[in-house]
Amino acid sequence: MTLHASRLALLFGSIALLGLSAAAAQSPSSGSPDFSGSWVSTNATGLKSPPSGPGPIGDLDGYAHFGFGVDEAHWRNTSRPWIGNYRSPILTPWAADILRAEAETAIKGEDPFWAQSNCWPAGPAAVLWADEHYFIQTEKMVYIIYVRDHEVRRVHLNQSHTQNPSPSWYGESVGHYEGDTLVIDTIGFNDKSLVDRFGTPHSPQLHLIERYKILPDGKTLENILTYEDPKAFTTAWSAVVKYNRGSEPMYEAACAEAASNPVTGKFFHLPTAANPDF
Amino acid sequence: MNRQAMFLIGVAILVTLPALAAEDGITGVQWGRKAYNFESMPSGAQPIRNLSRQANGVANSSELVGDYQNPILTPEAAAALKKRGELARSGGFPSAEDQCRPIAAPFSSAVQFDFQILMKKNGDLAIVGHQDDQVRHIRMNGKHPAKVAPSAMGDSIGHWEGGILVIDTVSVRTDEFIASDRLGTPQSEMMHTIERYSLIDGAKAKADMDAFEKVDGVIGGRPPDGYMKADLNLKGLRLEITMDDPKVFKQPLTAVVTYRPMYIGWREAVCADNPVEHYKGEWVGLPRAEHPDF
Repeated sequence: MTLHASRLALLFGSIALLGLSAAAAQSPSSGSPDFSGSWVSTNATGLKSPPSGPGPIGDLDGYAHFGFGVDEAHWRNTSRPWIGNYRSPILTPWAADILRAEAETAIKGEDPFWAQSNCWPAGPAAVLWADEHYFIQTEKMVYIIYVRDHEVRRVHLNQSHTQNPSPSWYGESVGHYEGDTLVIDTIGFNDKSLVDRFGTPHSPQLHLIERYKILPDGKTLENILTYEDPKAFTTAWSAVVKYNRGSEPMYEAACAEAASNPVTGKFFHLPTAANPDF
Repeated sequence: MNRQAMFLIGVAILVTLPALAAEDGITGVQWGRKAYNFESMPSGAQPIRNLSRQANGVANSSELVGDYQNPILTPEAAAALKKRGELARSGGFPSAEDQCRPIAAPFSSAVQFDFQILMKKNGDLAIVGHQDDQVRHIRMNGKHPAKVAPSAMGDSIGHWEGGILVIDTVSVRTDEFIASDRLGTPQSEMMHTIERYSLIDGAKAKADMDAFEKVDGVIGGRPPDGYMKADLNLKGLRLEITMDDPKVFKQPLTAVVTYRPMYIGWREAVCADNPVEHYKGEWVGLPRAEHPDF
């Protein structure tokens, strides 16, 4: 290496190190887990039970849901509607009544309504989407971007909740790292979204805690969720969602291009508002 | 220079470029404006203007009548724009924005008031627009595929030219709602959009915004400052956007959009919560796809 070339390499190397320092300022703090890359759920849009303790409601006895099928028109559809166990002891009478109505509708062959059918944001059920999502981790904020209909969640790091957050689809999320785990605490949901694919309701009192962690295999992202909502649930309960690494670059999934019931094919219209907002 | 030195320099450059971009001053900032559509370049072809004006001469944002006589328009585009203008005079016409459709380039630059450009760890970008939280994905230092299927947001690649962020977008899918701007200027699948984002002096940014708003007006529902930081020592952001679509424009059209940093935090703005009927019958509902995708 000539002296000139060596100096050039040294110069660029020094700039690189300075640049990396600058980059680190936008990255999660040192030692925080790195969730970069895309992730796709392996849960087939259902919540899984935790190893112990109260868990999600699951299928109604005799109506087990099973994966995707293809109908005679070659549409990829759910082969059976989601019929939730409205007798689950975790449900309050209020929630059980709503879910029973959903289940009875589903037994007739109509898939339970969920917000996504109307191109609404999924709210707490976004964790179940079977499409890629990815994390952008900065010092003050973690963004979770779902490919499905371009949805975005924002998690404010190391902050407290505000006193009375306005109800919203994704609520108000604060988070922090506990070793290799990202803990997200969300309140302030509106009451338009649902907890799961069965149509389990929640109220604005829903308090959701998520704990994201990459498992030792390095290929699996685990999210252990805990739900509390005194109006909807008799007890706090937990569920597990796991994700594998997804493909990049990611594809688009715009709900507005396919706003239909996956079972009946019936098209949903969006609601209309009384007043323009701009 | 021997191979080892060249290799080291190459590696250093590759490591340096994305790292420097991380403190570019553009990514991570919430940028905002309080007007629709495009500002003009100092000279050359002009973006489409609204022929409908209020008594004070300011554009009438509730009646969108595009100037179909703008010489940059092809005859076909002029005829389509004239038709939309007639619809506007008699009530209005639906757009991707008010039908809760994907808001893609270049329309996104005409109608998104707030946005953030977020950088992923690998240097790729996500542009998150305020309206409906819509996201555009930008592959940095990539190439467009030889054959790319039209999609809602198109195929976007980007790179840094010093402090300038350049984004190149092709293959935005079109339908009856798609338009290049809020006035309804058409857009075909040949549209090729190049965005060039650069930082500018804060005072100049405010002066440019003020001048444009005097002519084109401001959006409603926001305080007079538009949630923008008062400190003019903070840099503004200038977007030069070039729209090349031979079915619509006789020559590439370059226009400007000016932004300033905002002080307000992110607010959910979900279109499906409040799809608007600006006039009776405007809301046409979402189309039914041939195949459900979930």
